[in-house]
Amino acid sequence: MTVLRSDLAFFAGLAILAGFGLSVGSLFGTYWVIVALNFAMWIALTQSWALFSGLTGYISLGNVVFYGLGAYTVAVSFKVLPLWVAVPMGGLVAAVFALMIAVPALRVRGPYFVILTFGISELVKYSILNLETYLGKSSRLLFGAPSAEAVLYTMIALAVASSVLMRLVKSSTFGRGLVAIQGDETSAETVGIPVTRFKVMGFTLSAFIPGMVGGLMALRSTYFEVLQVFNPFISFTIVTMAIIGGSNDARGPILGAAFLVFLSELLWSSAPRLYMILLGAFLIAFVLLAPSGLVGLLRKYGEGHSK
Amino acid sequence: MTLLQIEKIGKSFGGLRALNDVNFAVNNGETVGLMGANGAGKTTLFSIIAGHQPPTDGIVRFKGDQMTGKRPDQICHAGIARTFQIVRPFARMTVRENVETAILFGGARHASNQPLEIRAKDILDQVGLVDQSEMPSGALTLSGRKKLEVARALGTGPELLLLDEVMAGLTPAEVAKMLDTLRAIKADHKLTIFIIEHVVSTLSDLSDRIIVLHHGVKIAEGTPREIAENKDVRTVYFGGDDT
Repeated sequence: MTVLRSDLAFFAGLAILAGFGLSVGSLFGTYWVIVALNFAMWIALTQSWALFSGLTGYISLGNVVFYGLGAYTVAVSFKVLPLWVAVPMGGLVAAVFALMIAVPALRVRGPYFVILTFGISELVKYSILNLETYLGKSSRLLFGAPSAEAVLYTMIALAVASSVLMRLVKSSTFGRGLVAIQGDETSAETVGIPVTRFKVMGFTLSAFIPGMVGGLMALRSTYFEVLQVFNPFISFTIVTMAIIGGSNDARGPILGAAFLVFLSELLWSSAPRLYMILLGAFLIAFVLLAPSGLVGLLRKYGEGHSK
Repeated sequence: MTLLQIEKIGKSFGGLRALNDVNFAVNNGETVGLMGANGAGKTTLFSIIAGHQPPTDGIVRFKGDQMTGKRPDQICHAGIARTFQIVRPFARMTVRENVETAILFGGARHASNQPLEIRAKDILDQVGLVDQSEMPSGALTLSGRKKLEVARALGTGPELLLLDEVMAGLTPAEVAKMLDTLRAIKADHKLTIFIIEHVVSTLSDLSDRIIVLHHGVKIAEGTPREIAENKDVRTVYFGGDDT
């Protein structure tokens, strides 16, 4: 019964957050639409990362590749395909790419997987850069993209979808299998878990929403420039948010994204250097002192109270 | 009836011949011991049966079906479970969740519609771990973790249980208790047991038959009494120059 109640609390919280995001423009004005969009984007990206890397322990440092491929898909098909086709297509392209690289990439573990995912994202970045140069495109302008509000609403839908997906996967048999893979992959096989299939499925599933997010962000910025879209800093930020928030629970990415988005809002314009220093300090502090992130602290606090 | 058939199994690691032309059978309902010095190839043989390593030569059959070439999860579903000499619990899970995971994915997952938690607790009760159900698996003592290996293997609902030194490192009192546990679960779950153990007396106590490996070659097979009187085994164990 407690599971049900905590599910209810989670979904209610999510609905309130989404409702607030939807009305932020009319309440506080355009500036906060941008902040809300940012927040929703990081939730969707970090939640999707946590779905695979958080549950299996295969730490990907190249998730920007899914985002970038989605953005590229939308940029290339702009004015050719209707957006309601192009954006999901961006997700599909990212997922198909994940499926293609999953089998070779997931043969390695630990630091090798981290480096490999980073390498793949850089490889794709420079391949597309060269392709664009060859085609004579230094950047692509997307004239007549939808309004910031329309992008925000779609992004909120993705943030909610990624959170619900994480929550459902985490409590499913499939999710239990992914966590077992993190616990001990050899034991996981031994008790009957089809380890390779689960890893490939998880990796592919975790690429779809980031692809759509990338497509939306291309519409938001109204132009596509390879180095900016495939910026590895996006991958780093995802991992940072997951570490600070906690990544084995759907609440973690939301807390992590909230923490960093609002910290950056607070400091970015007035003290940008201080922001980077604080970011580093927080990252170290969480890794050393609270490896389960904010969500871990929350759980501890909750347990302390129920005793 | 033959349950497990090992046919001409060989395994090479580069130039090292870890197993060479090993043949034997384990019959339904038996407890068969596997004995041999360090490096004799015992754990390698288990890994081949469970599908973690492919053999270089030969075939493993279970209930007549070829297991060689199948993945570990498929072999688990066929009805073979193993424990690891170096314990491998699922980190970040409680003791109960470890067993639940085995029930959830193992071959017998549809065998009962009782709630998962109750099935897990039943098994933990049998191995004497029920009081530690909610502990993180990493917090168990060595003896607890060995029991968890057994409990998790049982959770998959096996017909054949491969036990790799589940009593190594335990105190004599704990060994005695583990022997009782193994006898009880064997009867209760109608198991066939294939067990590696270093301590000859423990193995003799438990086994109907014993197979002895030495440098990857089967040098003897027989009842515990026959093995104790076997000349080759005596040479290897007591008179040989390698322990």
